[in-house]
Amino acid sequence: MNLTPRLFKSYASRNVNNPRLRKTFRFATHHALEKRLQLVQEVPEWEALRDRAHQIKEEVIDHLDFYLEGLETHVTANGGKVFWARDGKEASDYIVKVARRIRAKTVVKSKSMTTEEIGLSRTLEENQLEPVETDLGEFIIQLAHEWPSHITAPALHKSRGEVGELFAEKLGIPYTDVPEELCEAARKLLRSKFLKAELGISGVNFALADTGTVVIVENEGNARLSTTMPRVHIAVMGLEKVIPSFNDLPVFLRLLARSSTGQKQTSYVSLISASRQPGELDGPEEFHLVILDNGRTEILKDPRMREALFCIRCGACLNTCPIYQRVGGHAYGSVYSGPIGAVITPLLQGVEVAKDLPYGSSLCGSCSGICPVKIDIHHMLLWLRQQVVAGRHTPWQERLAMKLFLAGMSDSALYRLGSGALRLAVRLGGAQGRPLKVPGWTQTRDFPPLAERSFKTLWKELEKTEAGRAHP
Amino acid sequence: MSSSRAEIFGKIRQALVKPRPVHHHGHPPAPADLSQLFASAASRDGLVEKFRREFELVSGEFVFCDNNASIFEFLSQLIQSSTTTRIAVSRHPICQRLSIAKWLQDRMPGTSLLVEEIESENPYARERLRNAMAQVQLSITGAEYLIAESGTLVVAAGSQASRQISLLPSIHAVLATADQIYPNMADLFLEIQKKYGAKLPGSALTCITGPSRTADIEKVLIKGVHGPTRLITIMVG
Repeated sequence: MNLTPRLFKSYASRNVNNPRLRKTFRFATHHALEKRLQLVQEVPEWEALRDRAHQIKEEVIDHLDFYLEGLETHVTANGGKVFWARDGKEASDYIVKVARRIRAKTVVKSKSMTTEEIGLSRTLEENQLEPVETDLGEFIIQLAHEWPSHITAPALHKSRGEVGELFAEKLGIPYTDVPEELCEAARKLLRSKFLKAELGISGVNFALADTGTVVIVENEGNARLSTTMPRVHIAVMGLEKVIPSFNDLPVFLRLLARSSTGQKQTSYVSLISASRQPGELDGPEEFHLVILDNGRTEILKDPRMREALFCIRCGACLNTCPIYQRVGGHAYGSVYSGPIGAVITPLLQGVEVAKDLPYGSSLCGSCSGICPVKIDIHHMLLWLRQQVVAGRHTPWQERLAMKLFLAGMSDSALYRLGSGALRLAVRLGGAQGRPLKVPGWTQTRDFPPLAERSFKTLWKELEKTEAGRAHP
Repeated sequence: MSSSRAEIFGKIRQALVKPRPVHHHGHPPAPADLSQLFASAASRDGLVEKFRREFELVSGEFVFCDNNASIFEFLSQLIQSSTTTRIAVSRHPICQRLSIAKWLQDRMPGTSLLVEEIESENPYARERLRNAMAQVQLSITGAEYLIAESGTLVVAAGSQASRQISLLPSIHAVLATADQIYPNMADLFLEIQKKYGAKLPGSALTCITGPSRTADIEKVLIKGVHGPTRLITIMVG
């Protein structure tokens, strides 16, 4: 499989026909949803929290320049270095430059969707550095040379047997499919990497504009180690991750873990404001914050799409999506999968590249209903479909059919003529009462059988009867 | 000022000229008052019991000790049952007040003790501390704050405790007192903000909720991935 959304249709149809994969995704997504639901029911303020989180994000995005300046000012005042990157290449180049300056060889990375988005590990490898993914799931997919199939559980698609075989082959340990033993093998290897790495790279869940603090949410402790043990820590964030204030954080933290993994709080939430301060016993000597655009200001340009920048990457919309549950994360051909991925990927990579993603939805709205920051995901998918059509990225047959449909629907004479012709064709073809077949269209959809007589005909017949006359 | 910075800010300001559309189904205004959003977890009654219940739900171990003798009895049992030989103690005020290090030295002769007393500005001393900490099995530290709603311990990096002491050892025991418990995160954060303003204490604050964990392989819950396998709160009465 290649990391491209162009192949969504073929990946999706392949995955739908893979029973093992479907079972894996069904189990994992339902497991997360059940745990979430239990915890959400215990919080009577849940809806108010969602509204408040949405409001805070509106405030940030409406005044993004103001809050980013505040963040920069405070990070700098705390002794950190802020680097602005227009795209992934600028961000990666800067990180390589820092790594060269400190003569780093081993680079420990904690889980970060943003660094996945810019393919940072590949750039580090090309520059003779050894990037080590330290989150267990990310470590597994790094060994397998794959990309994440879920925003918060990157190796969701892998069975324990597959992980066992992978570890036996790549790490040279005896085969086992006991998760605890696999975890222990990874822990041992990664602990040695933590102790020798010169550079640690993390993502950012929230960046607080009024204190210059980056907040990192995790369960394993690998983000804490990545930001504590190496001499230099670089945090990489998309520019939408800023929130106004330290006291906005509790709102998001009460929503995030419950939505994502069904926990009240994750094992660790680190609030990092600076490198080691005088008198402190450990921590990195340097702290860098890379603030990345990489297409985000393009999303900002379209007011209808701005809400895509509210996402806190909890993964709840993936879990609840009937399409994601069936096709799995890899089908989307992007590091961002599921409903929010189907919004973000076309916006970041272009509608023409990812034109099929907005159609990977039943528009049921379950994603919008579960989103902890109330992003109107399914309406944005609809607007993206509009853009796909307006950009003439749909097949010409479909465009023609829609034009004919439009003409028929706007003129009753044309409508009668068209439906009459269609009925005649069906009758001549001997297909009465059977679903119609339209090449390309009915492969994945039903075209309901055409009624033998139209509503209008039926109505006229009804009027001739007693019952019809009784109700003029 | 880099050109990238100027370009990014230019793009943002240009984009924001167009206002956000009014939401088609509208969002009810939510209370901006943080405490109101945590109202259901605001009660100050029975905070110790609430904390204990939540802490145990996330696989934490909780013990209440109302005198020094019971603290030391608990620690000596813990050391023996876990066959611990290397122990680290932080310089947190509560560890000093209870003379934890001195007691270990006097009464646990079979164990080697690491006390975080180093010349902090000497990089070699820090390197030695770090290498020694990587060998430690049990660390004993103090908490800054506790949060009852989620069973969370809040620790601060500073001169009194390293970041790594709560991270590298496989067992982490935390001394705490009942007056450190806040009902929920909002109450605590408002208090911290009142006390410190824009300059948070130390370079890092960490909220710890249970031992390190993962469910990355087939959703099987495993405790102790990169951080401690066991997390213990010793509530000092």
